[in-house]
Amino acid sequence: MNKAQIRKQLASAFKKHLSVERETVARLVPASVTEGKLYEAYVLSRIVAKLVDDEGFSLVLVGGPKLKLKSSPGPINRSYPHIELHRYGNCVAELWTDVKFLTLSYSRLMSPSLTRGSYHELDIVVVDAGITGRPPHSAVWLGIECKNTSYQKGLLKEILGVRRELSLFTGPIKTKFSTWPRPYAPADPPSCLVVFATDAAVLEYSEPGEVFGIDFFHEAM
Amino acid sequence: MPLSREDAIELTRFVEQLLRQYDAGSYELIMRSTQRVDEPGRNLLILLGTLMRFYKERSGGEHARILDTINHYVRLPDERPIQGLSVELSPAEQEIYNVEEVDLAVLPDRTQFLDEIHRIIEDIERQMNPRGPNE
Repeated sequence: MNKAQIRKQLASAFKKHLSVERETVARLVPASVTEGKLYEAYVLSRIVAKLVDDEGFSLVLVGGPKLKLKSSPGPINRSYPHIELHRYGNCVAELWTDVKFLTLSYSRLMSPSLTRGSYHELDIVVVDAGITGRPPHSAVWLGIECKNTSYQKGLLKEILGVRRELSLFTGPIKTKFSTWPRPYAPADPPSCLVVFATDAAVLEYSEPGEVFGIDFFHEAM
Repeated sequence: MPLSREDAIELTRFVEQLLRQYDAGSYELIMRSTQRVDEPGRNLLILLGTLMRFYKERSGGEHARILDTINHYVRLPDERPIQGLSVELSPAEQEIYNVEEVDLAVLPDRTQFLDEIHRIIEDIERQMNPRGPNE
């Protein structure tokens, strides 16, 4: 196929599939608002598979018939749908999306007031059951970041900062999980921290994670 | 005849032009997420790869597959399947757009478009790395 044929095929594909009526476009919320959310849902689908197949949890969506992601993160609002993790018939933990957790430094400072540095966002979290508001760092079993963008140095520095604010660096401690994402973490409290990225370059940044207990996965949709 | 550097530069510009023409709202987002290297052929493939990733995320067809997977592992308390996936907007966004949530299922199905772009990428790769029968 030569250049002219490639041009023709490209023009045909765009014309056939991306032509949308103007009035339809006007009704749509801008793409920037839902940016990254379908990838987050995709990662969620991978996580629930791991929690059931590898860890043996039973999962139940409570609080509504639809799974809702949020365009902006916030505290846990128990009126929102979330997934309960059941073991032997008991709810032992909960999975929430787009949640801000209270940091280790906030807990150490014992400050009476919150500042912007007192909490950080995670795209998906598994936390102790029954929490309302921002979960403390000590309640986090698993934190997941989803990156559907080119993976660059700044994102590594960001996740290293999140690791710092979740736990102290220590020798290996048993996590809440038997195999996935990892049975032990060099962290106290022993939370797991995972990055999913569509960019294969994420693996070039994964080495520090071996020391600090961050698992990096290249997962294209 | 294999694609030359000039061909790759021209095709890259052509893709950018098509994006501006057919989806100006997404053009900026795609260009911002596209890395540049010092090799026109690679630039063309990177741009098309970013474009694929972008529209895959906005395809209702992808939504259906994701919901199917989630429903394989998660159930409602009464054992019924989960009925949908949506994004709840912030209070400020709700005021601006006059909707509380965006149902990801109403995204247009781009599966065919993605298949066509994927085939074009494969063709370009073949043009860039032509292999003889003995190689």
